[in-house]
Order: sequence, then structure tokens, then C-alpha cells
Amino acid sequence: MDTLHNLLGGFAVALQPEMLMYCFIGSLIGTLVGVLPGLGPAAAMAILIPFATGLSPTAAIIMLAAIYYGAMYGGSTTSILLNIPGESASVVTCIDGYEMARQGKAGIALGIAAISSFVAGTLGLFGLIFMAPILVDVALKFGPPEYFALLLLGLTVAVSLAGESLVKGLVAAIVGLLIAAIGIDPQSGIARYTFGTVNMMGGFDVIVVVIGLFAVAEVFVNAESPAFQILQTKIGKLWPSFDDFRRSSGAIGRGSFVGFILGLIPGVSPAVVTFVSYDIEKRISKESEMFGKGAIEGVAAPEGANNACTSAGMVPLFTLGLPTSASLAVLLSALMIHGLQPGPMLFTQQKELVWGVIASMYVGNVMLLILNLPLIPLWVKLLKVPYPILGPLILVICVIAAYGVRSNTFDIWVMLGFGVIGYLMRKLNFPTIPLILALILGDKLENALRQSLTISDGSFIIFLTHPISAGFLAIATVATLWSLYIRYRK
Amino acid sequence: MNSLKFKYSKRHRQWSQVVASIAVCVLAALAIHGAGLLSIGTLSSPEEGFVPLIEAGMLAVGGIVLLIRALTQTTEPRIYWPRGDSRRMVVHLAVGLFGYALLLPPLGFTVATFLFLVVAISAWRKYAWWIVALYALSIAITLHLIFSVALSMSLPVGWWANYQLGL
Repeated sequence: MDTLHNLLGGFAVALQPEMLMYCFIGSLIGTLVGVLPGLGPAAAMAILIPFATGLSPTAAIIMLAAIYYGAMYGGSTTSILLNIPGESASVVTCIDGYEMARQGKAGIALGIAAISSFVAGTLGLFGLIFMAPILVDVALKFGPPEYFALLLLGLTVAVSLAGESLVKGLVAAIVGLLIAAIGIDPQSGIARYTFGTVNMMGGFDVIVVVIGLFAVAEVFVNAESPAFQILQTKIGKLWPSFDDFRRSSGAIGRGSFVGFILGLIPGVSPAVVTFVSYDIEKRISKESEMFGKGAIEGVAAPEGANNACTSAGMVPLFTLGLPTSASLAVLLSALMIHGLQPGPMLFTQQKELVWGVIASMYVGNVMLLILNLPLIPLWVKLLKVPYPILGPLILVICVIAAYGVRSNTFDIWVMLGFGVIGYLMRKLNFPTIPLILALILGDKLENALRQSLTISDGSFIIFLTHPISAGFLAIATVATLWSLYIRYRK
Repeated sequence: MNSLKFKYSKRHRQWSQVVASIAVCVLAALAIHGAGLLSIGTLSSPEEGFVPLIEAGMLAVGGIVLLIRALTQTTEPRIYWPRGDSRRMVVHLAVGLFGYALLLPPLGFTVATFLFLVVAISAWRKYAWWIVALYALSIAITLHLIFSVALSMSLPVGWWANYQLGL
């Protein structure tokens, strides 16, 4: 009953004209970002955060969250029409979506992708609404040892799942932790790794690092490849037939379930979830030979999974302050920039914001379903903007965003440096997500560790004597060993 | 991808991985040195250098493991470094961005953006010089109107404007 009351309060916030406007803007930008290959939601959110600092916290978070789930809607457009995924979460949609387009069913593929995204997003939200209060009650019992173990679990799972090499993932995470240490130590007030420079006293801003690692590096990578050509085909009718719905409904339901459950786990990105969902659908299908040749279930399931995953990711973010992906890590930064501390206290102290954002996600899903289909011809036109114009334009906007964080040209140099580092990391197969997660969680992890050791008088046994902490560490250990086993088998 | 050839050789791959591993080891050494300059404290009262020292130590171990693997393993995924035009494009953009960051404070946002866009768009060698200049000018002015005027963002105005304003 309390949950229903809170949700109604959330809708009262989300349906205010100002909030509707920012939800709309975020959904539109998110879809655009999803459509345009080369600019992901994490980078887009990072670029927009400096511009959103003038907004109220609720409006800013509603807009940024809308960009995140809007990108999931938009990513399928280029997958289906160009065989180029607009987002990493849309890679799998290319397999059957593009085949459907080649068979003259581009409109149906786009239509079922949008409908699947809407249904799964809605189901995911129901899961979020009912799970979040339960997790908040659990999280209120956490102390420093539990927080340390939880954050370590999140990082460990992210390292285990990111990239082919566990050691490279670990190195990336540790580099992120060391970058987080740059600046003034909050406990002692002593400067660390600042080389005596004033600019380094504030450390490297997370937003600037994300812009460099994701947006700038992506432009460098895209500059290597020749321009793509749009599929010259008619979109055709957008509304699927009754038979299309019948065949997709099971796939949408299963995709939503898989997406939501896996989306709760830190480090499991929407991209991974879509592959799992597609694989499950193919295995249980009576016509598995049709997969890869234009099976509508091959579009419905992964598109549903990635949207349910975005809703699920909000559960640990809001209740525990634990982001499960790079985009949610950026959203966490946005919350902190607005003076909000994600975690169980956020639910009690900022009810209006939290439930307002949750309600706005449903409103945003409705907007995206209504907008997406009619706007497809516009997105197709935008895809014709040549990359020689788009790429440099993205770089200029990155510079503006980086400068806008602190009005300091030092941040532009940091962005450029991390752009080069991000490019080299991609080339050398070092995953970037562990670095970003570690950068964002590094301060909290260190504080929790130091507090725990102070409480226990220097004994690490405290992490084992607290049952919740021990449980998290056990899961982290199992996840690491499992990851090693899988790699050893390969 | 299909019109550009990427040359792969086992020696090239190992060289890239070896250099990367050495870079990680050097970074770890610097981090250890930096942590050593701080107060470590004790287990029951860890101070500001405690956690960075642990992290730097782990990084050193990771770097050494990567170095050994780079020198001995043969199953690392291929690394495709760009060649020819592809490499030129990436270098062109990176150097252009470097110049942009250098010129922003003295020239201001609009002029520096115009110059950067001329350099960056011409990297693709797709348009005549006057079309490049036209695109660059129109984008620079549009961005100035959106960010500086409409959104009232504080962007660099250049040394000359600062001098005129008495700053």
C-alpha cells in the first residue's frame, strides 16, 4: 500500500509539465544517440551533465535517465536498416532484424522492436517498483564492512565479465581506483598524486574522463573506417500482423524476464543480456533454423531484454548506490553532482525524486512508443549526415561539455588524454567499463575499507564475521573462479 | 574495412602487448613511489597512503603478469593497428584536437572552433576547400549562438576580447 502511495506521488511529479518536457527532451536525445552509431548513452549523458547542472535535481535525473532508456529504443533502428548496431545492446538485433529488412519487412521489424521495448520496459518497471523497497530495508542494515564487500563484489563481477582477459580487466579497474585517489584525501585532507599542481587538487572529473574514454575514443575508432551506406529499401508498414504478435509475445515475455534478472547483477551490461536472451530463444524455438534468416523472435527477445535490463539496473543504483553499467555509473555521478547520495537513505530522504524518476520512466516508455515509429523517417534522414561532418561536430560538443564542467581548459586536456588512452585501450583489448566503475566507486570503497579496519582494530576478519559482508565476498570469489574456469575451458 | 589492408604479424602483436605491459609496470612503479611519499599509517589506523600503496602493488603484479604473457603467450587476440589512410585520419584528428585545446584560450571559442573544424573535416579529403570552410563557419556560428547566446554558457572569449573587457 505504501508502495502504491509512493508511486502515485511519483506520477504527480512526473506528470508536471516541466518534468514532461525534460522527459521528452531526454527521450528524443536518447533515441537520437541510439540511432547514431558512435555515440553511446554513457558518453551522451556525460556530455549533457554540465548543461543539466542548472536544472532541479529531479528534472536533471529524469532527463538523463530518459537518455539511457531512449538509447535502447533508438539502437535497433540502425541495426535493422544498416546492419550496424547503434548501441552495443543492439548488436544481436542486427542478425535477424537486417534479414527482415532485406526481405522487405523493415517496418515490421522496427515496429516489433518498439513494441517489445515498451512492453519489456513496463514489466521491468513493475519489477523495480516492487523490488526496490525490499532492497532498501536490507540496505539500511549495512555498515562499512557490508558496503566495502558490496562495492568489491560489483567491481569483481564487472572485471570478470568485461573483455576476454581477466588480468587486463583487473589492471583497468586498479588504474581506475588509482585515478580516483588523485586529489585531496577526504579523511586527512592531504593531497595525493597531485604533483604540486592546483588543477590536480580536485582530481580528474568523472564526466570528463567518461567523455574522453567513450565519446572521443569512439570518434577516433570510427575515423578508421570508411562511411557506411543506408540500405535503400522501403520501410513498409510498421504495424505487425496478428501472427507476428502471436509469435513475438512469448519472446517478449521471456526476454523481459531474462533481462530484468540479469540486469540486477553489476557488470552485466545490456549487450550481454541480449546475447543470453537470443540464445535462449533460439534453443527453445521449434523453428530454430529460422534464426539468422529473419525470425521475428530474434528481434523481439533481445529488444525486450535490453529494455528490461535498463529498468533492473535502476534497482541497485537507487537502493545500494551500485551502478551496474557505465551509463548508470554516469547517472550516479549526476546524482552526486546534485548533492544526492544514492542508497537506502535516498528513498527515505528524497522520496519525491526517486518515485518521480521511476514514474517518469513509465511516462518516457509511453512517449518513446508513440514517438519512435512516426519519427523513423526522420532518423533515417539524420543517418545521411556524412561522418566527416558528424565526427568533428561530436568532438566540438565534447570539448564544450568538458570545458563546461569547471570552466577550466585543464579538463579539455584531460578529456583529450583519456580519448587517446581510450583509443589505445580499445586497440589493446583492455576493457574500459571496469576503469569507469572503479573511478566512480573508488572513494567509497576506500572509505569503507578504512572505516572497517578502524572499527575492527586492523583485523580483516571483520569482513567474514559480518554475515552479509561474508556473503558478498563469497559471491565475488565464486564469480571470479567461475570466470577463470570459463576462460580456462576456452 | 574491406578497402584497407591491415597487416598482421606475430612480432607486431607481441611488440604492442609488450609495450603496453611495460607501460603498466612503469605506471605501477610511479604509483608506488607516490604512495611511498604519503603516510601509510597502520592496519588499525590506515592513512592516506595505505590504500593507494595496496592498489599500486596490485597494479605492479598485474603489469608483470601481462608482460610475461605478452612475451610467452601465442593466443592473444589480434591487434589491428590502422595503416595508411586510416592511421592518417586518426593522427589528423588527434593533432587537430590538440591544436584546438592550445588555441581555445588565446583565440576564443568561435575562431578556434572554426579552425578546428576546417582541419578536422578536411581530414576526410571529401570536399573542396571552400565547402569545408563554409561548413566550418556555419557550424561554429551555430554552436556559438546555441551555447554562448541561448544557453548563456561561459566559453573562452580569447585574449583580445579579455583585453578589451579589461580582464
